[in-house]
Amino acid sequence: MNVDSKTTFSMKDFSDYTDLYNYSDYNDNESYGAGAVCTQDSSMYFDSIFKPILYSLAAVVGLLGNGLVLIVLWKKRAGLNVTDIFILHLSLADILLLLTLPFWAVEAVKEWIFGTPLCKLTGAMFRINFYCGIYMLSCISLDRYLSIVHAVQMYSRKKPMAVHCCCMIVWFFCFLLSIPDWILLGANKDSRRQDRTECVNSEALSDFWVLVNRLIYHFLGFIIPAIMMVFCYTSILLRLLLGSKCMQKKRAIHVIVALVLAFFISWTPYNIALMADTIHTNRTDNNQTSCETRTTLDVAITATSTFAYMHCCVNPILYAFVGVKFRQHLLDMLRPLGFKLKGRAGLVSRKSSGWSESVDTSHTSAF
Amino acid sequence: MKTLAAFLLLTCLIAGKVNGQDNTSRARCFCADKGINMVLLKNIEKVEIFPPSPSCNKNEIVVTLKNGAGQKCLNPDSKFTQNVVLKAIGKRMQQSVPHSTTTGTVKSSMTSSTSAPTAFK
Repeated sequence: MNVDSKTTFSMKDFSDYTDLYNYSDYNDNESYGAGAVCTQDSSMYFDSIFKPILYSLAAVVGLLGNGLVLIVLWKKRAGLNVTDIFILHLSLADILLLLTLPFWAVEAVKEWIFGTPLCKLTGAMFRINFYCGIYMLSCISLDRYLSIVHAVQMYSRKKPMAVHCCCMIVWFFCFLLSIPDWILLGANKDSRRQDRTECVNSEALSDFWVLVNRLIYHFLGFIIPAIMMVFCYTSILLRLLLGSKCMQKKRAIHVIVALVLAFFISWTPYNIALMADTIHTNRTDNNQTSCETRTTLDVAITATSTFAYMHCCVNPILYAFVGVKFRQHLLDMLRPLGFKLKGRAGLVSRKSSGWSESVDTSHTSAF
Repeated sequence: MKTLAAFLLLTCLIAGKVNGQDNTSRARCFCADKGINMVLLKNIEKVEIFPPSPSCNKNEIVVTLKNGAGQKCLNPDSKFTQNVVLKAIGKRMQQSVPHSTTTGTVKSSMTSSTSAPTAFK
């Protein structure tokens, strides 16, 4: 069959065959439901409602939070410690990812109206920062593990450039992952999706490459970072539990548990939805399948992926604002603006003075 | 170092072929199974042929039935499809060339293949 675009025939085209064709192929035993057509109309409708609302919310909240982090870190750039530098790069990655969300929201409502060059840029930017954000979290957990459990300073406080270089390596690796986007993405019309133009590859992948694609995402985007975080923070927790039961350590334990939970709550549902979709698609080839199941999977993937992007909004709270020193810097910034927090700030300062000293020793801003 | 660079390049080349934002290309063809082998011609309202597109890498034939009976997928490999539908395509292609000699009106529901040298309009 050699057809280049969608082609439609009416009854007129078949009039010549009405009387000639024999019915040898007709099979009364063909099972009910055979030949079912699964359109994507309902899942596309869900996307056009859900994505604009959630993406707008995520963009606003996330840009405010991460922007504030960047401002505070910029103000004290002379005295950044190791974790601060990782948080700086994390916030930058989150901001760049959140900036792409409005484009995808417009695509979901209307179609991709921004042309192919911007499609390549937006798609690549999304991927770079998608992976970069996850790997910065892993670097933070590794740094804390080394400094607390092994008392090893990977990076000296006096050599911040070494940390920046490490971050640049992560950025470069993520950039490599995005090279195919620069090459393959384009604004392409899809006759199966209401003839909309979307920012996608021009050709659908074979089933084999879809599977390879999924596996690479699962490993690079979830399993490896998850293993790193679980290992590092579990070791830190064990070390903290062996020590004395002071209030500061109890608080640090709560922070660690919150960090790990936030990561898994954000990303596990999405990975499960993808696995379910992969399994379902492979079973489809041999068995009949329900159109409702496919629509449900489409909706689930959209919902869980959006939920995962919310992690960009939570990162500032978990990694930056939890730190005592960070909050003090924030309050120092706000005082000239007339905020009357002096008394309370003083109390906080006095109460945590001992804790601040130990924080300096460990070079971590969150504990 | 060269080995590491080669590994990274291989990783990124393999990892790349995906949708822009979704990060996971999804096969979303119209037909949930192979499709039915035959449809009574008198029940057919129209036949649509979908070539490979960004969301599906297969050719698909969708029949819209009369009297609101819905849509069905035709098995592209069945005898009925080969003998009736594909011959109609060939006939359509031939008619596209001598456009000036075609008479009569063309229904709005008909669309032409863009590969034809001249289109019905």
